[in-house]
Amino acid sequence: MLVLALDTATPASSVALVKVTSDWMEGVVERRAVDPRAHGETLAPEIAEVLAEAGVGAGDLGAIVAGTGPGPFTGLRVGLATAASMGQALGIPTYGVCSLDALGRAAGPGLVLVATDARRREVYFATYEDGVRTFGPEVARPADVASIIAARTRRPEVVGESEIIEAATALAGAEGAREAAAIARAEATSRLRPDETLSHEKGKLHRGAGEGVLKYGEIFRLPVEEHLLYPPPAALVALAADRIRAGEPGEQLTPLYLRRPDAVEPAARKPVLT
Amino acid sequence: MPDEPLVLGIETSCDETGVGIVRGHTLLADALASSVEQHARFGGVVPEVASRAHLEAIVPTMQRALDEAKVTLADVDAIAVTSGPGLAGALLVGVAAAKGYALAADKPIYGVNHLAAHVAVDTLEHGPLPEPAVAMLVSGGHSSLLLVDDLTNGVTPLGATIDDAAGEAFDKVARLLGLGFPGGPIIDRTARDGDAGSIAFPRGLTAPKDLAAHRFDFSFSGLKTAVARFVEATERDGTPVPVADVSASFQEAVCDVLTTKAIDACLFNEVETLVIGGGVAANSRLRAMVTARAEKKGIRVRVPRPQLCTDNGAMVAALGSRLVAAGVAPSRLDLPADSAMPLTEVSVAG
Ligand SMILES: [Zn+2]
Repeated sequence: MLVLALDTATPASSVALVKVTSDWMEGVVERRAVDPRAHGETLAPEIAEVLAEAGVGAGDLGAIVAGTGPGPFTGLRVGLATAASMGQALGIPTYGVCSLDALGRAAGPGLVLVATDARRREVYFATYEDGVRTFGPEVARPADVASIIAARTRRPEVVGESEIIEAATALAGAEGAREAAAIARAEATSRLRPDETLSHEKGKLHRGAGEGVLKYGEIFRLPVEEHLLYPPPAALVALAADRIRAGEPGEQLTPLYLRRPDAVEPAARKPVLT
Repeated sequence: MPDEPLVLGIETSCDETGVGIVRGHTLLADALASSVEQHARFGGVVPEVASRAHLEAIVPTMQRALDEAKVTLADVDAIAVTSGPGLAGALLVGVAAAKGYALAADKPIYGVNHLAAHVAVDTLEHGPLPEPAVAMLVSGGHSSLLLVDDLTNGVTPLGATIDDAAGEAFDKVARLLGLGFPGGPIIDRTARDGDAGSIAFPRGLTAPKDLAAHRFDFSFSGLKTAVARFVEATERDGTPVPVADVSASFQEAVCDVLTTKAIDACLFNEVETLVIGGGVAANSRLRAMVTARAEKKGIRVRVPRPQLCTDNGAMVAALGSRLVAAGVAPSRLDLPADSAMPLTEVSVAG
């Protein structure tokens, strides 16, 4: 089955076509444009381009997976509105996946902090152990992230070795992911003194993913692999693969709104006399 | 006529999620979801709240419109969507959804101007618009006088408000009187029990010295302040505020200015047709006053029924239908949401 995946939760507007079979998945085409203010303009042409490049039509799609954030709302809604309307028009299911999970999954084995830019000098963040979320997503100032995690980390779910490998194979192949993780881990230990790393219940976070970790590098001090700055849409598909394969009904795509709308109820009326 | 274009229109520029479907000048469906109640306690539309509501409402509203018109997206000839002006985040939801529908169903897309759509919607009720015409658009977000030579090609702005929009003045005065939000319909109702001649409120930009520079412009902020002063002075005297009289006198002042300037614009441009749109065009006093005064000058007034005056998807579809019929090239898939889209741009060039 051909699956369209898209994510607009970060400055990147990413689109991928992924072929999902009963026991395998492979990326067909991927596109990414990085411009935080242009999702509304870039996303639809990107979709048209990946379809054309793959030589298929929208009618050939069997499902759509969209990153539901968290992320700056305006851009995030562009992706979800596009995915929802396409799903409705094509009569195919739409699935939502937390955008940070795509980064956590793509980061592969190890303890990973995922942080993306939430603007207003804050980050959206979550932690992952071997691709599975152990904390978050939350929004906070970068300097507060470490203490929030330390104070509130719950015991991570136990993950079987086979699942870790599946997480990795879906993306780069098991060997590649393991290698990448090993290199990153070695880098982390050589570059950072232990007291500088962020703590995690079961140990120290080894690596970071997401452009928020890079932007606030002075605070997080975690290595970030270049291909892990923005949520890879193919990883969204990996995370929705079970639902896609089972033919589960789609869901309404709702952004992960971690902030309330900025709105204040009006105070008592101001006098105009005097 | 079956060979007339079947066009679908999507509107999300403010707090109404609208999907309309027309064939030629015939309205087939007009589905609407409003977030107005969520804004009431804030006394005005909160952009982020409106944007969230649009995303939730767009798919079900589309479904209702398709069901109502008994068509599918595959039957549609083109998809039109409000590209601007309006609230940026709200516009983006509609534009993104329209692109999704256009991509999935492989249809041409037209990003259209919200104000021109307010003019076009009248064709659904009264047939083709005689051109040239003068259009007066009055709502919570805009107050403009336009000269319409060819709606598919661009309109010429004659004047606009220099401060508050007419509908905004209704909202602010309703709040001042403790009547609630939105103010337009409430003041219309309250004013029926009042004496419109009881309080002499100012008519903005009608003095000879103002007319030189602002003949077709509006100003409602002085009027709003005058109402506030009157209310405070009354309260200070310890007498109850005559809410119905204040509503009626305020409404009379707004309608008087709008009517006077609209008719002057018709006479000045030697135009015999005046079309009125926007939420304030649903005001019963404005409709009666304009019709009566215009008739004496030989001007025909066209005002669509109230549901079509406020923001809706049908108006966008109506304009899209005109554009398709006129052979205007569709927009591209990268068309932007433009919160400050100029009136000279009726649709985003392809
Ligand atoms: Zn409007």
